[in-house]
Amino acid sequence: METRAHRFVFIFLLLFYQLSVLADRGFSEELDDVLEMDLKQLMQMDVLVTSVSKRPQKLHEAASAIYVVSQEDIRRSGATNIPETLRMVPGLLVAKVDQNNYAISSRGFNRQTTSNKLLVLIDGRTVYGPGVSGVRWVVQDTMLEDIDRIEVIRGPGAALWGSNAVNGVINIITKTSRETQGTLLAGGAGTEEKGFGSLRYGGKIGEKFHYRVYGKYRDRDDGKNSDGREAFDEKQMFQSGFRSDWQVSTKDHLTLQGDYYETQLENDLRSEFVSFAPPSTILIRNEETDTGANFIARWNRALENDSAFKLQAYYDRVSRNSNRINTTVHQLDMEFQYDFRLGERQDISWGLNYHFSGFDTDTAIQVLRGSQDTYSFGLFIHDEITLIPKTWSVILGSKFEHNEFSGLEIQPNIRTVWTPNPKHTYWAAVSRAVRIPGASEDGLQFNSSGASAGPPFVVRIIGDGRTEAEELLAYEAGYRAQIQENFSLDIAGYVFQYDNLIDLTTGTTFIETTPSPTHAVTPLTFDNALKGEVFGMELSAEWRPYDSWRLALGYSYNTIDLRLTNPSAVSSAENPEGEPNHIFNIRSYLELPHDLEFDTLLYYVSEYTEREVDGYTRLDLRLGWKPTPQFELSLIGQNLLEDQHPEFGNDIQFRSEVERSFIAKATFRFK
Amino acid sequence: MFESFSMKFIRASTFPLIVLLSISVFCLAPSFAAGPDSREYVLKAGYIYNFTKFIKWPDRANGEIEKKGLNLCSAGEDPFGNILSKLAQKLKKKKNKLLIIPRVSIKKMAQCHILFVSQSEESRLDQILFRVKEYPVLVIGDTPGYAEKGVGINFYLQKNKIRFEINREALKKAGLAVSSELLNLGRIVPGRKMR
Repeated sequence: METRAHRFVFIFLLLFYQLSVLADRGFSEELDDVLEMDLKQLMQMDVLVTSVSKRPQKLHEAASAIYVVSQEDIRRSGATNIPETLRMVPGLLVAKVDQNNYAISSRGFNRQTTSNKLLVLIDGRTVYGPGVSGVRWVVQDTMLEDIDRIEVIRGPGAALWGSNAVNGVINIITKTSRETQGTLLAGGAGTEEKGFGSLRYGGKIGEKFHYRVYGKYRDRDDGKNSDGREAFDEKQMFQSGFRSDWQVSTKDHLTLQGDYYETQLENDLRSEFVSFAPPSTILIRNEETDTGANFIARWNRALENDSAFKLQAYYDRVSRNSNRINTTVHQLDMEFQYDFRLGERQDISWGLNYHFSGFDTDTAIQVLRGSQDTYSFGLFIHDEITLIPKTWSVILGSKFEHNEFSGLEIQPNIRTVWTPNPKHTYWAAVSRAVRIPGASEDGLQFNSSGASAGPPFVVRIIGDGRTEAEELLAYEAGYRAQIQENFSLDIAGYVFQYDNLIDLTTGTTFIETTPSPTHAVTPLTFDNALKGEVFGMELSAEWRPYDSWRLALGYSYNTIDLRLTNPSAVSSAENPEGEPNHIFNIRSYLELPHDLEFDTLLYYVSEYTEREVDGYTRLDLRLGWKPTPQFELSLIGQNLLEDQHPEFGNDIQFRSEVERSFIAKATFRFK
Repeated sequence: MFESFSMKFIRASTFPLIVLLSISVFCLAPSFAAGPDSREYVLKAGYIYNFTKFIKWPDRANGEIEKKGLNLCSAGEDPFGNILSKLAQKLKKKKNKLLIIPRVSIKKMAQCHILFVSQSEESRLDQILFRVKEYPVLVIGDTPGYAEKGVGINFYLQKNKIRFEINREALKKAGLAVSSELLNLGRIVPGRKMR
């Protein structure tokens, strides 16, 4: 395994020698935009990263393991959806389950529907579903061209973001409508992506009010099963949305945005929810229609003395409908945040939030709790104390949150950053984070089909309310360096101690006579059955040997050691210990004469024993031609080394494999 | 448990160490590129380009600029990396000539039309300002306190946005005429008594 990885390094070192063409940094396009702006427009532009402290901060001074995917990185990756853009992030495991579903996690615990310790937000709206306890990537989309950046924090962010930000936070941030003026038309087709297109128009009313509207469509082909047969997982989706930014006065900024989508997808399930009410036939293959709508309003106000407040509210509704299951999840969220400076040395933020989620479901799922409407409210406080100006600071903060599943949860952290000079940054942190059980783990019961031959037999998945929150105590440290003007390095290491991890435990099979027919039931009950340690490190480096050649590298090592806390319990669920230990990627961005760009992306993921997936290497190439800022043409080849390979397992759904594919894409921009 | 962790650590460290070592071998070739906060400096480059539209150099310097191009220098550790040279490339297409002189020596500073003084030169700032005192040089910085000490335009950050302060006396002493529009957008700083 490691010798293979060594070989990649060797190959790329050879590449360093062979390529001596001049290359680029990737800000070239940004600079084009900036040159078009006047001073007033420049004064509206955001400079820095926000995720780590919930207030703007310089990336290299951040006291956590953060990685930022820029718009340029997205454009040059050739990715056609959000999950694919995340492959480049060091330490993230991105595994494609089938054409629709992805399993994504940082620092372990990657699961298909319940990669449940990673919080994901799009423009401040959480897309972590309370029903599935995780992110359904299949319905997360937006105009890729309008994404400003994706900030990925590995490790807990719970002191700011609250529960479920246990082993990572992904913040997808779109551009303001001021930055997306004019028309953008992008479209293409390929062997897997049968056709996709998106159209955006950005306009303004006066100098203070900017808006954009967009629509996009995608038609994706079925994947292939491991035996080469066509899988049952194609997808068609349509999404549209808008955003408006109104600079009401020099101090007030009002943002309204919203999206609507409709996705039709095919599922090839290994088992299905069973209801003994007719019709009781078990449909393994089904078609599902998902619709979603959301609306956010946000008011930012700048006050005297560098203080500011933010007030945000959103509503989000997602429904899934097929002939077997119908569920709707509503979420309403309100948030207030206030930032101020106390004296010369303290930057303080505090905030309040309220979250409601409602869960409607059909008869196949039995509700054990009285109501599926749940509330949580919280308070956070964050104090950044400068001990030695520009050199040493300490951050103290905590989130206090009350939820209906596990009551009051206190999630504090302490962080410190030491910057002896602008080129070197050392940081360390200790934090506590919890994941509160989702509705399926605490309050629901449903039957899943067992073996189909013989007398009726069901597996009953029971969330009977006995679960408590999963707890994490995390120790992290890192080092960031600008070793040379053209070479930067980022290393982070961590030891995570988990307790009360929720898992399914198997009970004794029994016979049930009602409802008829008589059937056997094997109960699987959610319980806090596991504890253990996770340990690992991540490394990323960026090197620009020439003006027009940029190389980036990411490597991560992760290992998980878990044990059962209840000796009588038999864990029947997946074992996270069998996740890949090594993830490696190296990317080359090269700018050639005649406005050509040549980009190489190589990914390696080591053996995934739990999923019976061998280690694999994936090579993507992109040739771009950008003769003018208005027009761009890309030819993209993905997974070029193999006809097909699997990235994930066969548990809930039959997996389909990742095939070699080609895409051609054109982008036009008009003022 | 922790014993097995230390073994795992050793195993885990060998591979990244090899990667690190191999990379460091190749880092000896110096080249100018942007640092980790490049977006900030891309925006600042945009500001500097815009400033040239609002500032008028005295006739002689202006003649030079029109004929040979504008000399944009930086003193000390250059936080712009290769952003300024890229800017020059792009402006060339627009028929605006910009000559970039990174890490300009103190002797040649008087030839600059714009001089960006990096934070690394904080201790030598007085010396630099003294050197360009009699010349039409627009001195720009992005370090707190620079404007008060006599730097013409000094960037600062406020609410994640770039702002700038202007020392009017310093600009006047350098013989630079500033449009009122620029003065309205910046924060006026009373400079300390110029020597």
